[in-house]
Amino acid sequence: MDLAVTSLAVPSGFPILSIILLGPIVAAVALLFVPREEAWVIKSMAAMATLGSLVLSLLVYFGYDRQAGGLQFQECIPWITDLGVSYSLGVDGISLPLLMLTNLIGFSAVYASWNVKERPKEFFILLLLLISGVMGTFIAQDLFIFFLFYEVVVIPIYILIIVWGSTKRVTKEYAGMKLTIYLLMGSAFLLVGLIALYVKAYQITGIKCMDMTFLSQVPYPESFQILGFLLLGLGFCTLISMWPFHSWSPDGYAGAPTAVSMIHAGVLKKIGGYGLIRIGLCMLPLGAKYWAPLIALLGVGNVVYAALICMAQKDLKYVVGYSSVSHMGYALIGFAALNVVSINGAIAMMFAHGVMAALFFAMIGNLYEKSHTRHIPDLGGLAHQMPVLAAGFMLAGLASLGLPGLANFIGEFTVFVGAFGVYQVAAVLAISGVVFTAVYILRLLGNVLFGPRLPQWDVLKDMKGAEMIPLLVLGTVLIVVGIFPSLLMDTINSGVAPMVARLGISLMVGGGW
Amino acid sequence: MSALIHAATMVAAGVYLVARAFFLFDAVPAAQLVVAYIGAFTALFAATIAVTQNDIKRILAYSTLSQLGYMMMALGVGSVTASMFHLMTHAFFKALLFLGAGSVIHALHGKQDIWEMGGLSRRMPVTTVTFVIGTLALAGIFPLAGFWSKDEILAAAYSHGFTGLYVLGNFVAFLTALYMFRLVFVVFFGHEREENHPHESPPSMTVPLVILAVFSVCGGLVGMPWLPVNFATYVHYGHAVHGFHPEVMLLSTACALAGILVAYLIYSRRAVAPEVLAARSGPLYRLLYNKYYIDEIYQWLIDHIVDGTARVLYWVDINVVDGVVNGLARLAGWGGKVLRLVQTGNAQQYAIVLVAVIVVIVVVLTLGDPLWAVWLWGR
Repeated sequence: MDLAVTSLAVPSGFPILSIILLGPIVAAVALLFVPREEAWVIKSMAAMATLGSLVLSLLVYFGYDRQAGGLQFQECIPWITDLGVSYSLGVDGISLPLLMLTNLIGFSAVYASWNVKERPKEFFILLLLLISGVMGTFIAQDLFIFFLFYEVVVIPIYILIIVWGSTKRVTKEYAGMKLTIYLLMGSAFLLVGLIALYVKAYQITGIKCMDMTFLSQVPYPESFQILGFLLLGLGFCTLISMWPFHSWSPDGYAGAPTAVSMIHAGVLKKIGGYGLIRIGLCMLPLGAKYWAPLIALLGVGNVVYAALICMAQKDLKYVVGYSSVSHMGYALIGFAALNVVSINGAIAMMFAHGVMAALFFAMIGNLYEKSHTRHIPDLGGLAHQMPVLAAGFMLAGLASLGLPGLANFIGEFTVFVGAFGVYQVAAVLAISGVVFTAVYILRLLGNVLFGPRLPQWDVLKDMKGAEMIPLLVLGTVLIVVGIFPSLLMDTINSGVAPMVARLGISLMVGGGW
Repeated sequence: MSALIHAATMVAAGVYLVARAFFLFDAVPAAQLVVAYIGAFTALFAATIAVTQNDIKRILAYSTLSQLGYMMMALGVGSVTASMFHLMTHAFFKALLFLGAGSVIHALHGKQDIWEMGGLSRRMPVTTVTFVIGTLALAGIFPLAGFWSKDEILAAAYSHGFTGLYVLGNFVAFLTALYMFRLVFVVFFGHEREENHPHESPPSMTVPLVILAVFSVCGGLVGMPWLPVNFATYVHYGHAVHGFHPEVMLLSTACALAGILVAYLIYSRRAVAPEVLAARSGPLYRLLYNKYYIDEIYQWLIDHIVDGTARVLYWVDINVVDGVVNGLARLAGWGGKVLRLVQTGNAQQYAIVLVAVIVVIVVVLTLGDPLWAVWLWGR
């Protein structure tokens, strides 16, 4: 693998991250000049832009030198020098999988929206902005840039939901508003926390700088860390939908159009987990240590509570929505155990869950587009009429319940291994969540795909052509990562291991419950 | 089918797992004891169910469960060899019996109820002979495979001092012979049914039957204690034990023969009609026939406890957790409505408020509590 990679190596100084990041934005701007009737041109441009970013991010992923580790492909242009803000990008083993994930899902999301009829031009412009925004948060190496992209993300989502969403249990306007306000509330706490970090660093060192690497070396006093982590944690844990700050998520997904559900469940939520690690843990390790047991406890709440609620759901999107709340509990537990293995697992879990959830939402979206229902009791026996779609559903479902051989198993297993030594009770309770997951997923698959052929669904056409792209891309990733986990884990570990070693926190969390 | 039978397919792996991890159980005698008693209980429990079932495959499935209980009991009393030996021989004759049942069902176009069968021996000689061989092996009749392995389990219980389990094991051997020969007499002997037109299955089914029958006959010989290299040489925990217990063999054979005899009297000679027996034993029969209502209990637990919890939590989620969220939103909306009343657009009113506030400030600054002012303005 490494030999093949050196031949693909990116020339140094080539601003590849900027191109990956700005490609979709440039395409979005270009789309402004395309007449709205040219739906096919619009879709193709969106697809080309996301494909370009995907290919380049693959180059970055495999061109990243895991032996050397650390930040690579760095770019830094001073921007607001008075405040110490610079346009600074870079990737390491923690952000790289998430950058990859964003591009995989972004590309798939364009194809999952291939049949959007209503205002396709505006739709794809906003979608491209959304994809860029998410990418930006993962590769930003400057707090200001990070927060800027974080805010860029929220607005397109709001518009996408209220215009292209669907109204079921709650109206799409309610869902969109709830999601937006919830996330903005979270980001308000986050903003206060980030400013506090910056100001305190200035007071301690006398340097005005928003660079993340710099800030993570500032020796913040413990009391400050505890308070600061609380602020950051409120923001990030809302975003990762930690119990009890999760209720925006199922409603939001159910209201959102397919592509937004995919991106939201797939990557946007992961900004929360990424932020907890990259900002919370790196900059405020003592704060992280202080709050970790609470996060683990609430993470267990996520896993068990949401998994049980999934069993009571009748709407496909609500099942996957609550299940993503449940799965993020594993990531939270993995984070809270604060050791190399568990954090590796948390990141792997975020990656795998992203791919799986996006695939699930793509399949549900495709089905909904044709049958106009997501109500499980109305469906049944669809494997007769739609075998390809059924295969996609099965793949996503089996990945979701943690079947060995698919990517999610890697993440869950690593989290359990890493967390068991720290929170034994929590780990055992979390493992029980696997059982509930199996119950609701198998029920869902059984009720929707299997059973007698229902004549009213004979009109449904199976997936074909461009519709299959999300299944092919995301399904391949689930299987490949499930079989060759080192493709993912080595990269993650190259980022996590040095970080944990530097912080020296590996044994800091005493076990107990 | 029932959750119990689903479990049965997995328990073979479970037995193996316990055997593989036997060092753990060996370190904790209490755990081993639990394994022994649960195993024995399973053997008895499933065998009593098998006696009353009417579906040919279900009888075999419960029989499997019962035999797996034997294997667990063997592990519990400390004999990995006996357990794995029975796992192996059982694989031969249970595969044979399931294939034989398949052959019968195939011949009868999907019928599975043994009471709709009868007298098949005349039309299906190969199936009948091999099935009877499998049944004899399962019942533990000398010198077939099951005899040796079952004996080894009982001998292990006997020689390690588990008298209760030993007696229970013999009783299960009796039940095993009873329910298996009940099946054999009802399905293969007795009157032929007019509506059935059975025929022997094609070689693709009979050849495997014969092969498995051969193994069911000879498979137990690899465990012979007098062989220089036998089963226990390869599979053992601690040191390999080679033993021979004539008294154990005699008792278990007697139990099996008694089972066959009872089955013969009831189901072949009809000395006591099975229907009468069923009616006489009323509640007990119904309990066994309904498999101790285990499936119903599971169903009830799932419907009421698990799904009930799910519904309650969902209610909590949309009414309590989300109620707080919506409540906060409503609070903000309400606050807006109240504050809106201040914005009347009436310039005179604004001027009155302005003057009033200035007056208040002046009064406070001149006459007010100085401490108050210090706190407010820092002076």
